[in-house]
Amino acid sequence: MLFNSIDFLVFFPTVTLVFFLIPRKLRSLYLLFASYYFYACWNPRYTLLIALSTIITYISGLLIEKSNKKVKKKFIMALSLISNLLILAIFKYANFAIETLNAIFSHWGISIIDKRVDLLLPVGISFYTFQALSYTLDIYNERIEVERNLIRYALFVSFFPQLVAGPIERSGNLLRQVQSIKEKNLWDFERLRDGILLMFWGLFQKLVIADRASILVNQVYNNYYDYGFIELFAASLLFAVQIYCDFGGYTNIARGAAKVMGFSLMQNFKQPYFSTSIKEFWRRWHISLTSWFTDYLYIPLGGNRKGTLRKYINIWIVFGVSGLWHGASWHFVVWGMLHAAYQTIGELKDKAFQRFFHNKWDLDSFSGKLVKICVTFVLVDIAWVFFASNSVSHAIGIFQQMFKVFQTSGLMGIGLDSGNWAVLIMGIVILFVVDLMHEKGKGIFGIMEKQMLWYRWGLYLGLIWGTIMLGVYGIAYDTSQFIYFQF
Amino acid sequence: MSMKRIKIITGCLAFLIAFIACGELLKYMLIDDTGSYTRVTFHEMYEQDNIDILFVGSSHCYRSFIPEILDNNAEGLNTFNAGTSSQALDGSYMIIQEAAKHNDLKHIYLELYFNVAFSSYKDREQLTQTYIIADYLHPSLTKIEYLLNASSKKHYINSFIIARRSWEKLLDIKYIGDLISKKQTKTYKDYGYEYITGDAEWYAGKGFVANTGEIQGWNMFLEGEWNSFDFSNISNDWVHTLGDIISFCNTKGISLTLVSAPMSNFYLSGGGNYDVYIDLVNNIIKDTNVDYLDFNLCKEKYIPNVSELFKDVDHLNYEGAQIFSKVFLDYLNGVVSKEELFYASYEEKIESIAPTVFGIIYQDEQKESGELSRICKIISSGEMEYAINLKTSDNKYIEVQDFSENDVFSVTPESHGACTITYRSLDNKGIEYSVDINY
Repeated sequence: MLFNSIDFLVFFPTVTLVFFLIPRKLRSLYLLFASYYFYACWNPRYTLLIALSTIITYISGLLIEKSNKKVKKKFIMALSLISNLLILAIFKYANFAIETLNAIFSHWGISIIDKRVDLLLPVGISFYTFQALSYTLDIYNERIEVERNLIRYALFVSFFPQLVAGPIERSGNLLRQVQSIKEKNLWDFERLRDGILLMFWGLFQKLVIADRASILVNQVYNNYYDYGFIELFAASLLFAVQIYCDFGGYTNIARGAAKVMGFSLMQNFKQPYFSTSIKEFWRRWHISLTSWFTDYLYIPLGGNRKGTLRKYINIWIVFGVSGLWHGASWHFVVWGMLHAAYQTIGELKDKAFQRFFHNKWDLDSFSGKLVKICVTFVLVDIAWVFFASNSVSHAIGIFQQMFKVFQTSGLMGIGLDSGNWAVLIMGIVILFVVDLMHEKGKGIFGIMEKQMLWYRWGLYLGLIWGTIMLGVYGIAYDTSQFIYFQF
Repeated sequence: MSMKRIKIITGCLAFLIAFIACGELLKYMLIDDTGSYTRVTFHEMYEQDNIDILFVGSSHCYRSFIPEILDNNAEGLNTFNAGTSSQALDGSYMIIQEAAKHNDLKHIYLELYFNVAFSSYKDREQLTQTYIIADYLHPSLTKIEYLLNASSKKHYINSFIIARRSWEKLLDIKYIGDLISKKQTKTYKDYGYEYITGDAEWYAGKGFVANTGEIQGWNMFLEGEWNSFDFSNISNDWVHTLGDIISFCNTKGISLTLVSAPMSNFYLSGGGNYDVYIDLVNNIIKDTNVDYLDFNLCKEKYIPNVSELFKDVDHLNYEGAQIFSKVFLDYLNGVVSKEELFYASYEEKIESIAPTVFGIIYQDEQKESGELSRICKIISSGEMEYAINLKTSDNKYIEVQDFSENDVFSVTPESHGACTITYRSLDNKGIEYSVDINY
């Protein structure tokens, strides 16, 4: 079930209303049922995978807590880790592994495996697997107490607002809130209002900006050989906007929906395109995944504690894995590696600047920051070409075409007419202003809160009607998927 | 209840009202219904004291049944025509339910035009025929159910948020200004007929739309296959909804009669075997108390099938509608019986008329060489021989064929002129007839 579908429009208010009205002791069970129903709307059989992952990590947690010996704890943790990653590997990476092995061995004329694994990729498998794994690892590291109630734990793994595309929550945050679900005061008007507004802001990002931008991006990227520099450059710029609004929009809807129900999900984006370096970009983009990789991969690998070379190796490992996490394809790996390269070069550059231009260039001035923001954006956008492509050769083809053909027949008519362009540009300007205000520490809803009643509610109405009227309800009106659902 | 709670509830209600008002304002600014017949039709429907006899169906309904004539029925019953363009059966069912809610209906005549019977509701991509009904009926659960079932989910946003259909006009200030000006006029506000009155076509009250046009030449461009009426493709939705309407009328004690308005012999003979459709409808109603009156089986002495009575190949013009409505009134008053009016089948009707060439239908075909060719097919009342001569627009005379049973010939695409077809019956080659048809 997609957040931008009619089904969700019926599902969410119904589930929420019933949640508010049922006895407190039934809340966990009810939300668990609703969450499984939410997932089952996509594929009922694959709810078994969530259940399996839940049971494995739940039992592991209990066993880790019960065992006295470190070795035994480690063994159980490893078992939980391997079994969960095995499920992920089978469903997500089996064909990728087969294709890669076949490609390698084809040089010697050997075909390792003829058949492909005919399995549908479960929506959100990477998200809920990582969330469940974080629980096992936190128990093992004695960061949290074990959860004995299976229903509460299962709800933590499958809580529907963030089930299929995050944020990847930690037990320290979401599980604690699930544990105190009975004590929640649900009838809080301000919270409800803010939650609904956040959902509409997310829908605005998704429907008005991302889905509109995707029309041009898909048209140009899928037929890149028909276009030149101007079109490909515009498509690349718009993809940066599209993916931010698509994923950021999803996250806002998820956070808003959770807020309506009395839960607080972690922030996943902090104005990422205002980053002045790639390192900072990753502190602002998909924060829940970055912090997961930092806590459960980068630091266990040694982080920056084992020397400079080892630190860079660790960065490359983390970004390589991050690329693979996004998709079982080499173009995602290249995307991750590019970011690793950016980060490595960025740090080396910083050191060089410190040494040679220390007193000459003030990089913290407005102009200095602006240059850094622009450079970071360009680098990120170059990497996005690999992310948006179907393959590495597709991405290379786009770059080659971009610098081969310079004549253009204009951007009008590539799926977007003048009206759509006007709305898209207006949407991007609104997004920029909102992000800029957040960057200045002035939350847009906080500012609105201080306005006069009629003005404030007029803006709320404007946001809701703007989203309804100007939203693109998918190309040819098919509800369009969120990009991150495929991960 | 605490003051805070009262404030919140009042605030929520005020927001809801403001939300709805916004939707209405946007609809007013963006949706141009100043030329809509159905806006006036449904307004008048709600304004009637009581409708006794209701006519529902497609454009064939609102172009054929004249309430002004039919109100002269012997029992003094009030008639109303709630036909709308391309009205499908789900639309008819919606209107019937709405009319039954506000009127003590005695009889419903459901016009059945077969061309709206082929698509299943969920496959619809074009929903104008649904919106022109739903937009002007009062809010109700039945209407919500109608809209939910009328299309797939992807159309719901436009079905329920009316202003959304013309969102791109939001940026067109001139359009909005002009539209508001039009809507500010007294005629529009009073549901007057001014905007829906043209030289050749006008809204004549109680749902009837008059048109004084006359068919120009019996030729028709065909986009699909020859014999395009494929009645085996009639959708299950159509059959089910017909069953629903029959059940509804039974439950409410309303008499129901199915009716087909007259169409030209050219249209029906050119399309395929029309008797298949008649049999199909009769088969559906065979175990019910529902009658079927197909005026395409009507004898020529009552409604002649001549071009003077048609605005196009399948719609009556005003003169045709007047003749038809008078015949229908005679039927209502018992002056003429069903048996007297109709032949038993369409085939019998065609056999009863003198050998006639109704017209030509044509279609563009691409040859293997890639060259386009316009294929013309003569539509006639039986087995005949034809001699075909063309007079092109630059006054060249071309003899296509001497008398032959061949009824298909080709002309150059995009060319125009007159086609003279001389024809004679195979049974009686002594008598020859001739007809000129523009192509």
